[in-house]
Amino acid sequence: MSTFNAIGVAGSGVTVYRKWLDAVSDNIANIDNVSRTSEKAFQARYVVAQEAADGNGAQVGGVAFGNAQGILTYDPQNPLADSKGYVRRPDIDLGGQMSQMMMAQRAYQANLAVVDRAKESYTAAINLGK
Amino acid sequence: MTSPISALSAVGGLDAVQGLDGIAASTGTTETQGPNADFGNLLSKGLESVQASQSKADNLAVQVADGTLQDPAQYTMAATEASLGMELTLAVRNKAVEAFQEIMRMQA
Amino acid sequence: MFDDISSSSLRVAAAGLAARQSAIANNIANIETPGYRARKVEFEQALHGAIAHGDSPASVAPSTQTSLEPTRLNGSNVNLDEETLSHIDTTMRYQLTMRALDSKYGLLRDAIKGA
Repeated sequence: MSTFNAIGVAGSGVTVYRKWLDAVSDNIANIDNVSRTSEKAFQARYVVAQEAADGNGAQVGGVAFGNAQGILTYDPQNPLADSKGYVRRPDIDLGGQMSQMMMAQRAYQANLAVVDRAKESYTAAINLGK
Repeated sequence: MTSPISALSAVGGLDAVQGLDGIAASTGTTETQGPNADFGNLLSKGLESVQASQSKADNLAVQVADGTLQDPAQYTMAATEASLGMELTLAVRNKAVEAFQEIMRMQA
Repeated sequence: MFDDISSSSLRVAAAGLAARQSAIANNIANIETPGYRARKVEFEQALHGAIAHGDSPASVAPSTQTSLEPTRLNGSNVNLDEETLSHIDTTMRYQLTMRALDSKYGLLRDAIKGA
């Protein structure tokens, strides 16, 4: 997409923020998972954003995972509880995830706005002299 | 595409315009360095520059086609310049031919 | 008369971009179809190669290939972001290509009329 470069660059941003939104919604969906103490708790997923390799835009550099220990909760009624009555719950803070979601959404919309405005500018360039 | 420029000059009859030189001398006024003497030159320079701007627009058009053009405005500017240059040259040539015909009418 | 490099390249580009528009429309329509593989149209590399070798661009035809990207949960491997942006890019390049052809024809027409 080198002729309309700004659109490609903003497009890479859109992809990164969409992946972030996907990760956050996955975390929130799994926030009440319960696991046995013998297994790992659900780990929050964090998307690592970095500048694109060719210098044009952004890319997802990798994924980082949160704490596997989770939070040990005393819940003897739970069918998954161990002999001492503990289960593991994910170490995810709903408030933190919500604010991440707002940031990701804001960034996603900002990149879409760039695509829109770039489209207008390029259309003006195409119609020059008509 | 046969170059539109060669189509122009074939129909042109530009050389006839040079003849205006002789008229200026016979009226006995001080010989102004007739713009008419250089008119043919100016017109052919104009044609050359239109030819050049057309080539430039063509090269950029190839880049438009294979997607390697970096800036779309460069192509549209080159295309507009080629088109306006052509229209200007045509207008100048047409005026010159009209003027020549006018003078021929006076002599008849 | 219309066989110079820039005219034929522009014609190839127009055909390629039109094919790409269809492929994108198809991909977006099949975004939830299980087992669907996205279709991609290629012609730029072939065109660039042909011109670099001095061959006539008229010999280049757009080719459709299947995308090898990983599939999502629903079995389709269409990436909506990429398709949307590719659609915008294709539309605008098509406009620019048409503008280019128009201006070439316009120059010739001016010369004809002005004579």
